[in-house]
Amino acid sequence: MRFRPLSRRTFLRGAGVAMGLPVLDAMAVRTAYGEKPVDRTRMVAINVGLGLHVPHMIPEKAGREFELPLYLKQLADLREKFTVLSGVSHPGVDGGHLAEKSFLTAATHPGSASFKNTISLDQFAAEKVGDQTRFASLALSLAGRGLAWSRSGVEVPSYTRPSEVFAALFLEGKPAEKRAQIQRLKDGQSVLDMVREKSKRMSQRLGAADRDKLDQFFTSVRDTETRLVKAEAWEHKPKPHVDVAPPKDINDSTDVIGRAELMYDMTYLALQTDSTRVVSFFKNGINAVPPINGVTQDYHNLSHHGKDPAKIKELAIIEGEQLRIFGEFLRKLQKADEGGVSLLDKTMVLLGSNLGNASSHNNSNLPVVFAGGGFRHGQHLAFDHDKNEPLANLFVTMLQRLGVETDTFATGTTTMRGIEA
Amino acid sequence: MSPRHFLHQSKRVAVVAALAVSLCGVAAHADPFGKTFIQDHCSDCHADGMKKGGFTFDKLGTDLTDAETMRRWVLVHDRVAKGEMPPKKEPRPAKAEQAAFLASLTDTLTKADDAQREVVLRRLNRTEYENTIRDLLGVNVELKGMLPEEVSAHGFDNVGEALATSEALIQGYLEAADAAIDAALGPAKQPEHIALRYPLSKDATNAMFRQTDAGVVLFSTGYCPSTVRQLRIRHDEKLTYRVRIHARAFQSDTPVVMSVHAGDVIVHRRPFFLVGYWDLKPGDMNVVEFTVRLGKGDTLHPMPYGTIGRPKDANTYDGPGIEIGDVEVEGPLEAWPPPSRAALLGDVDPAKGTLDDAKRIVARLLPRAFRRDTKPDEVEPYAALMKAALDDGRPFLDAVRLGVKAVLVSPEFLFLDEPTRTKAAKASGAEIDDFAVASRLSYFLWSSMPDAALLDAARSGRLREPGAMAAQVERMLKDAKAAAFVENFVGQWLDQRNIDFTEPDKKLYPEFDEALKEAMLGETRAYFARMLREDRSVLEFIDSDWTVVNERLAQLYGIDGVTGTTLRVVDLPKDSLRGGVLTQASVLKVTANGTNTSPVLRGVWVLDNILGEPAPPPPPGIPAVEPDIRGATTLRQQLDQHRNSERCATCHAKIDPPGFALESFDPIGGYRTWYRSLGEGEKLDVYANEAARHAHVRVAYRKGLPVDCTGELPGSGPFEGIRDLKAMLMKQPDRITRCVTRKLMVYALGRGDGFSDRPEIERIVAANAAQGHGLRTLVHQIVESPTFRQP
Repeated sequence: MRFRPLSRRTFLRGAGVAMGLPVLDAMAVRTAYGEKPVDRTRMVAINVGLGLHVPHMIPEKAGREFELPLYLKQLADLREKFTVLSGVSHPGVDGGHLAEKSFLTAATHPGSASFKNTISLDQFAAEKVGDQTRFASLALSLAGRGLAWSRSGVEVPSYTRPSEVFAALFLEGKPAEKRAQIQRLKDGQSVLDMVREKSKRMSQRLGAADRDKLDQFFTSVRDTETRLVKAEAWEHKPKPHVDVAPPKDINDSTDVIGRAELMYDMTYLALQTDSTRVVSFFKNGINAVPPINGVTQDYHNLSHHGKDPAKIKELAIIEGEQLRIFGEFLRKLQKADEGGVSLLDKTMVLLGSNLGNASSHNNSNLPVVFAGGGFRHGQHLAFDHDKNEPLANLFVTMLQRLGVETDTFATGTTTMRGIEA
Repeated sequence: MSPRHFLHQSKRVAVVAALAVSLCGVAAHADPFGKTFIQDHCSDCHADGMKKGGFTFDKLGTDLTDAETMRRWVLVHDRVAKGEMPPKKEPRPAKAEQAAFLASLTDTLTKADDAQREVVLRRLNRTEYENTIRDLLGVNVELKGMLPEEVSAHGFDNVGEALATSEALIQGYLEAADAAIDAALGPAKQPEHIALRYPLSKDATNAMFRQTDAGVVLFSTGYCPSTVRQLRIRHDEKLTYRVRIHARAFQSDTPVVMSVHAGDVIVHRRPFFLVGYWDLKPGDMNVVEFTVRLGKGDTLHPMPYGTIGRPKDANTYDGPGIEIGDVEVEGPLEAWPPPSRAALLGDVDPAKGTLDDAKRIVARLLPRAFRRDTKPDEVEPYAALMKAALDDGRPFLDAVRLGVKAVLVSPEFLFLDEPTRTKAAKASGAEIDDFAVASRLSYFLWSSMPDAALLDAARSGRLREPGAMAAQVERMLKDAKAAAFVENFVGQWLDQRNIDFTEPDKKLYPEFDEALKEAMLGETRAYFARMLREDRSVLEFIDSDWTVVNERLAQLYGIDGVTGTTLRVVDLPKDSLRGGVLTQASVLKVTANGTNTSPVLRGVWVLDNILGEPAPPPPPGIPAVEPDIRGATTLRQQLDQHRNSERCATCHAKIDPPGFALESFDPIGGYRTWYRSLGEGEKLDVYANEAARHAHVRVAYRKGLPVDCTGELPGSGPFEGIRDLKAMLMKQPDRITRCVTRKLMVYALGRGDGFSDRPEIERIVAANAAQGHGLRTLVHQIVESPTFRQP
């Protein structure tokens, strides 16, 4: 397929900076930093929007001696590389499907009239480690909204086309395009510089609540300027080369599995080339029948199975596929070697859903699998079904492993009990 | 929001404090939260460790700037005021004692609420942004998609407190500004003019079609490769084309429907959309004519609707189809260069433009962009940017682009700045200035900037003359731009924007399709538009003797004698279940999911949106009832257990009844007396539609359990179903008017309403009742309200 020239958006979205940090391979990174060891831990957070049928996801027994449930049987070879968590959820996060907005933010009551979202795990991490890579973070989704939210509670737009991700990561523009792009970035900087001054002056004559709004505008303008400066610096550096053909987008929006596989491939490439350390991926649901053998009904409706065994059977086919491709992604990371360590051991991967029991739109007892990152896995951490453990505690654990000095994140007030370093 | 205004905020606090001191002798103020009353009448159940119904005063603070604390105190006020608390079985407080408690609490809550009840600096939301760019630059370009999705508060996405700014948004604005300027200047090269006329039979060659002398006959509603392939559009921007399709009904005495989709209908790489449905008469060719906006790679897809699936042999099949002859496409209809170019640049020749020319261009734009008069020196920062570009030797248009882009990212453009006109504090009538009033009005009724006439009225002070606002409202509502009011207000108030949130289960509701969905949305939109146009009573939101349907929707409603795809007003028989918005299919659909309905969810929706008395959220730790569609129990039966506990009963007695009455309607708005079941139940000899009948495919669902739509409305008594419920609600006109007024106020002002707004809302409700409950009158009354001019 032919690639369109990169859009301005493609250039700007998720661009971070790492002056003088080549991204070709692991060895090069090490030399760039001289003797100083570089911690290159990454994180990936995935949300399956329509839920994962809990009886097929969560083992019956807690501890290390559990039998793998239906979906996880496909990950048997990776058993020591992941932990299953049950009895976890975000306290105060309800609202059924609306809870997807809070999956990585843990902001409470996403369905309420005055809901205001907060920063998501990936964006928080990107603030801390994002300046080391070309992309501070990569927000992916299959369609529409993703999981990434800014500090001010605004959605960070996601890539929905693998080809665009690939182009952003690896394809160089033509020299004229690059020049035009650099000019555009410079123009953006001078426009914003002026606007920032203006908002500062305007702010002085406003009341407190209004001033807050304008201060937020001022901060956003300043941050965007910084980002444009970094983006411009990156424009002068070559992108990493990969020996992979550009992906061909799947235009059939009902093919949620095929499309997700491509996104996993892009995630793998982004991590492997160290183009980013932080990826979020929302596997949005669809109101249509996915093209999978044995599935005859609309995915969303199947998730509200109302205990109908025929529906659960079809649902299990789709969700089984979700876990199969997830397993393949983990295996790919496991096989990739980075200085003697597998990429999986350097990458924390969280897979879960904002729905516990999707059929009743319940947001407690979320199904969660936590893989990689060099932890001692192979266990089922079963927390209280009636008094759930905050999922954000796991976020704290992840942030700390990423090298971020923090003891809290949103409703997380400590690291997750039972996760063994 | 001027410096004066800022000063007065602190002054107002002083005034409030002074008031409190001067009235110190009154018992109410000595005890602002009525502690004595609470101690005497509430504490047995709600204090000192007691928390009946989950509520205790022990943990209720007095910091009323905290939204939850405020909400709870308002609830305390309201439940005592309504006589719900103390409960009936407990001793009643003396009338005077209760009145004193309420007066004291009212005063406390009003003052606290008033102090924070201001319109927070509103940013244009992305819909308003796109419309504003359209009117400012005279361009027609889709910009919404370049900006992050907006967040709503109080049910609307134009509420200042929720409209945040982020890095992604600023990047979006830079990008959208470029796209807007590109559109205003027009493409560098004139887009190729297309004048195409050819028979569709050239493209539609599949064996599933029948070739005739006059054209090609299409029978199939499913897979139907009949796209217009000869049309090759090469320009990137979306431009307007005129399309004529020559077509007629085939093998049918009655009209057959043709649908047309446009966009990327061939490869589906980019979006495509429905253009419309047309009734094709038999006999001479009908000429279906429409205009549509198309860009690179876009084309059209005509196909039949409501015919059968796929005939075995197209040449011998004797059922109805559509016969299409020629297809004509002509365009782009836009002039080149577009008029927006001259509007922006004036008579400046870009090849010879100077800094002074560039300054003049921006100076001309500024007052309209900022929606007020600007001072001559306000152009200077923009001029400095443009000068730097020209000094760098860059082309004139690059410099102009930079200047205009900076205008479009400036806070004065992106935010609705509302400085006060008078020096008085809000309580004694501070008003925002006339330009700000003009903007409020135009963003209320047009979701866009004020036009020249409105800005003139503001500039000259005429907007403050008696009757001036009313005249503007009339003028503006008659303008085509007022469609944005219907679209955005109704789209959010009645949750129409959520219509695609769930897709009805194909096995349970095989009759649902895109045509029905479009008709549902069309009904609600047209219904509201007619009420507004004809100043009909807001009580018609509850019940009416008319509605708006086409054939497809009339079938769903069981109304005879309506043919064709055009929506029209029909009279409803006296005993009709329909009429009002509660029984409109769109509302019934957005309050259900794809498989079932929940009386609780629908009840909550009715309380929120029709009665304006939202139910509190469920206490934590109460699991949702898991629906069971296997046919053995109804959700209502499952809910009964849950509701019977005392803790749940208080709220559910209010929540559930409207939901029970609406149980007579399935998730797509059809009437039912029994549930459709995919498990147990009687087999049915029913076909979903003509196509299914032809293919001998019976419906997959069975006849499940009977529907129980009875209930009891608190204060009104038992009802047998929706007709009774509507009759009961019709007897509560103030309640309905109050809810609609509040929704309109939130939307008009861009802020949530609070306790301190109650007196003004009550005044409007009474005034509206006095004038016959008209919806248009209500819009006038809101605009004329002093609140509309307050900061």
